[in-house]
Amino acid sequence: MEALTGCTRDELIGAPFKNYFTDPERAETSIKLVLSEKKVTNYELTARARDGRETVVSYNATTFYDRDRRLQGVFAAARDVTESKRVEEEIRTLNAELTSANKELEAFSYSVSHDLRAPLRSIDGFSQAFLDDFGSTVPEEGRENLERVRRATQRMGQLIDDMLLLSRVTRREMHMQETDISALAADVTGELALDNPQRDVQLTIEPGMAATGDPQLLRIVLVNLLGNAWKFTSRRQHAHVSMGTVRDPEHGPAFFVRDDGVGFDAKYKEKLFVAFQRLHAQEEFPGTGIGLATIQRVIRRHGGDVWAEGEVDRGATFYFTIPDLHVSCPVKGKQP
Amino acid sequence: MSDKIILLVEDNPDDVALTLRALRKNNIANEVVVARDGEEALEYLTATGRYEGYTLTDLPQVVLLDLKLPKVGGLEVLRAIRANPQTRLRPVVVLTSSSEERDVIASYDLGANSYIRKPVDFNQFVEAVRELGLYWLVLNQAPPVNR
Repeated sequence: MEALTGCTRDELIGAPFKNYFTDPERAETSIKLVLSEKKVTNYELTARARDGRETVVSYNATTFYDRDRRLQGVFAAARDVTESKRVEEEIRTLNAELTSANKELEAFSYSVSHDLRAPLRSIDGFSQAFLDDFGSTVPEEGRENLERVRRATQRMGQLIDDMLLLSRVTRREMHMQETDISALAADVTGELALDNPQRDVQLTIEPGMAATGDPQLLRIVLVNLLGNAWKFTSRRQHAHVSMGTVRDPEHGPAFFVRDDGVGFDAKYKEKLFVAFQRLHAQEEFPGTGIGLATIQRVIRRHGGDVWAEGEVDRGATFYFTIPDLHVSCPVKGKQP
Repeated sequence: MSDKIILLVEDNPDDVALTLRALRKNNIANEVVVARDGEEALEYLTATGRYEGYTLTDLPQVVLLDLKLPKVGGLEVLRAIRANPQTRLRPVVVLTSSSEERDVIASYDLGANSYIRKPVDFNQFVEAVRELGLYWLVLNQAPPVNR
C-alpha cells in the first residue's frame, strides 16, 4: 500500500481505505462485499498516489475467523494489473484504428465500384453509337481504331471488377462451414462447359472431396483455377482437366487442379501469384493477372498455402491446402 | 404496350442517352419519363411539385432506378415508393453500376423487384434492356392503379 499511495505506513494505519482510490464508493463497496459474501475475486480498483500516479489493481480478499467462527479480519491482496490494462487498452485502440481503416477501404471500393465504371460505359456506349450511326462513312482504319477503344474500355472494366473482387475477398467476413468441394467443382465446371460449348474437355473430379471453409470464397478459388485450366487448354483439340487430392511431402494433403494446356516456364512460378503479373500476351490468352492473387488471398485467409508446377506446353498443376481438408477415400500416397 | 410509361430515374446524362438509345434499338416505343434525381422521381410518382396536376393513371409500368443519385438517393426513393400506399406496388428495377453486395441486399431488403448491373459493353447493355423491356412491359402483369 505504501508504494501504491505514496504514504508512509504510519499515515496509512487507521486512515479510511477508500480514500486511496479514484472511485471511493467502489472501494467501499468492495469491503462491504467481502463482509457480506466472505470473499471478493478480481475486483478492479484504481489506486491514486499522493503525486497523482494511478495504479490499476486487481483486488482479492477473504474473511478469516477464529475457532469459534467469530470474524477476526480480512486477508486482502492487490495485484498490479496496470501493464495488462495498458496492453488491453492499446489493443482496443489498434482495433478501433483497424476498423476505421477497413471502413475507409470499403468506402473506397464502393466508390470505385460505382464511379469508375460509369465513364467506361459512356466511352464504350458512344463509340458503339458512332460506329452504328456513321460507321459506313468512316474508313476501315477509323472503325478498327474505335473497336480498339472499345476493347480497351471493356478490359478496363474487367480490371476494375477483378480488383474489386480481390479487395472483397480480403474484407469479407468468413463464414466457415463444411463444404463439398467435389460438388462445388462439378458445379463450376458445369458452368464452364455451358459457356464454352465448342470445347472438348475431358474432365475428372475425385469424388468425396470436402473441406471446412467459406463456400463463397472457395467457389472463387475453383472458378479461377478451373477457369484457368479451361482457358489455357483452349488450343488443345481434346483437353484434359482434373481435380483431386494428393499427399504432398512438404505440405501434407493438398487439392490439385491439373490441365494439359500451354503450361508455363517454371522459372517464373513465383511471379504467378503476384497481382497484375502475367506470363502470356493479352492476344494469346486474355486476362487481368489478378485471379491467382485473389486465390492466394483466399487460401491464406483459410490458413492454407497455394503453389504451382508447370512446364511450357506440358500443362500446369495448381495445388492448395486448407487446414481442414478431408476426403472420403484415403488420400493417395503418391502424386498421380 | 406503348401507352405504358417507363420512369427512368438517372442523373447521368450519358446514361440517360445510352438507355434511351438502347430502348430505341430494341423498338421499345413507350413513353419514357426521365427524373434527374430522387426528389424529382418522388414528385412524379406522387403528382406533386414539378408534376402537380398529373393524374395517377400516369403511374409508370416500371421504374428503372439508379442508386447513386443527387439529393435523394436511389435506396431512399425505393423506401419512399414502398412506404406510400399509392405507389408501393409499382415494379421497381434497380439499374445501377455496382454489384456491391450491400447495394444488392439493401435493394431487395427495401422491396426491389429486380437488380440489374449495367455492363460496360454497350451491346450487352442493349441486350439487357431488350430482355428487361420484354419482361416488364410485355410479360409481366403490373398491379392496377388504385384511385
